[in-house]
Amino acid sequence: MYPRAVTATLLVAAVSLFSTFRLFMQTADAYTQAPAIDGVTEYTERLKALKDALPPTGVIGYMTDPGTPANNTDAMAEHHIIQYALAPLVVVPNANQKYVVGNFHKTIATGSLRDQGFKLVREFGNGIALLENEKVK
Amino acid sequence: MAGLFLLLVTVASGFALVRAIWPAPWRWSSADPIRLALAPVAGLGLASILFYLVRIAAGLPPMAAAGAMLCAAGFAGAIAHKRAAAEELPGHSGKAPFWLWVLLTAAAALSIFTVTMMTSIAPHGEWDAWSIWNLRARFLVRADNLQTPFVALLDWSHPDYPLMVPASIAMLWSTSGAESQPVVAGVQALFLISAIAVPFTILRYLRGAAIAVIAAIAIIGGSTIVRMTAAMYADVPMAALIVCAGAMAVLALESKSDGRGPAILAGLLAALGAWTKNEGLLFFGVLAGSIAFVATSRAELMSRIGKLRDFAIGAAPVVAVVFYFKSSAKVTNDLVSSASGTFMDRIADTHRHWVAFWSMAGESLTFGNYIVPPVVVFCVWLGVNRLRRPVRGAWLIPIFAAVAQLAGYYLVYIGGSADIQWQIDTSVARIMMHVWPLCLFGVFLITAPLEKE
Repeated sequence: MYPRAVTATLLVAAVSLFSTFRLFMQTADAYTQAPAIDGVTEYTERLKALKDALPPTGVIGYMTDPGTPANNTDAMAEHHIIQYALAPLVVVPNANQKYVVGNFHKTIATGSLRDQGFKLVREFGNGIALLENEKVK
Repeated sequence: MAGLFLLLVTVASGFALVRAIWPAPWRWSSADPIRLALAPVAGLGLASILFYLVRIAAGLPPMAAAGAMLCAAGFAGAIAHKRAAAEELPGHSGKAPFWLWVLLTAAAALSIFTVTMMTSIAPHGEWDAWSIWNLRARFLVRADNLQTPFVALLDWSHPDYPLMVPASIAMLWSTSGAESQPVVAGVQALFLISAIAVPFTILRYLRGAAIAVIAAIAIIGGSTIVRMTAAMYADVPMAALIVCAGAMAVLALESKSDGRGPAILAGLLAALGAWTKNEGLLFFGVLAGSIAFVATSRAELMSRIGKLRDFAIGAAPVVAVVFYFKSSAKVTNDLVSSASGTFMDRIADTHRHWVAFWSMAGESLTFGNYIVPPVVVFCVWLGVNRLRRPVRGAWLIPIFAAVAQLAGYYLVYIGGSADIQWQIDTSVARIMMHVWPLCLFGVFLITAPLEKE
């Protein structure tokens, strides 16, 4: 190789390898601090009993804590993970279906749900519940 | 374990398909490293198209899909055997110094460790993986009909996005009988391998080993591509198909003895890009236009007609599937449906131009975890080594196509997006990565020889 080519090659290799090494170190750091089970797997495990209680196909509703804004990123992520876990059942992000998955982080009184026309079918723990919307025939 | 074995079978099928289209001597030949580098994308493309077609024709198809894949692989192998060529011209004989190979090995090893750790931290990938791509794969395998994954109720999961990635994963899951996440990671890793190995092997064939090795180190160095592999989005597959199609187009125009195979493969791969993401539809047009018009002489321009015909022949079957899929999708693309005002209003809005231009310019300076802006690094590279002369039009195709693709993305941001800042914040690094390997392939292609030829 020409001497100038060696210089340019070393420059590109050094900058590129440093970038590769930097990502490796950032990842290694995150790896040592990561929980044993990732969030999606943990959520999917929590939903196993609910999945067994539902029909394999069809459409069900979804509701979370009252007052949660529609563009709340965490709430959207949880809805998407629940859809991912329950597919091919379609989980729509509203409660206008006969059966509705409840995903709550705050304690909700059964009475307040009943006032809104929802009957508790079964509770699965960790804030997950199956509700029946009595307004939908 | 069965899924990982099926990944190997998919790569072998891809190799047979590439050899059927681009005949080679029966024994290992000088261009076979290129064919092997193309095998993962060709095999996964074949798997996804077959799964989709069998799903349409035969409903839930575990054994039907596997049978179709085996038949297609056997058929491709038989054609490859029948069409075996007598001889192939040797590639460039330039060697790379040993220390450069050591640096490439170090970069590859670091990337493998990085992807492995990231996959272990998040085995289901990041947001778009479980809300779009892997979700769609689950629907394709689990749903008893092909309408469910594409209903309007799931519009937030972008049902209009094409199926290259989900259907190839669905083929492997369905055939192996298990929805294994390591298989998804394996599919993504295969796309990353092709994104690096195809430019590497083609540069080695055309320009010698030294330029090929430094190009591979540089592609890995734009570490967004490594990070996005573990995220399990469709953007690394998109980048892989863009560089594979672009580099094969250059090979078709540069190599004197390889017949029609490389141009047909360029068309096939560009069409598979359109089967991967909507951005691939744009690249398909960009690459066809580049082949037609990026030339430095009238004679060069005239020679392109035959190549374009072969490009179209390679693309036609996949384009037909993409059109069928798009015409049967009931959901409008969210960029189109969410846009406010008229297209002309948005195009005339100077604020949108300001936001899009500076975001894209800024990303081009900070892309890929580099400590020095990559634009500066590769300008210095070309300044020190100079351009290969006389410049031929074919050598300019990769950079022209990459710039045209980015210009297309710019127009989409300006003309299509409702919330342009959010759209840019969530996508600009990924769209830059789409053209990163092709851009670098172009830079190293037009670099003057590093040693006496």
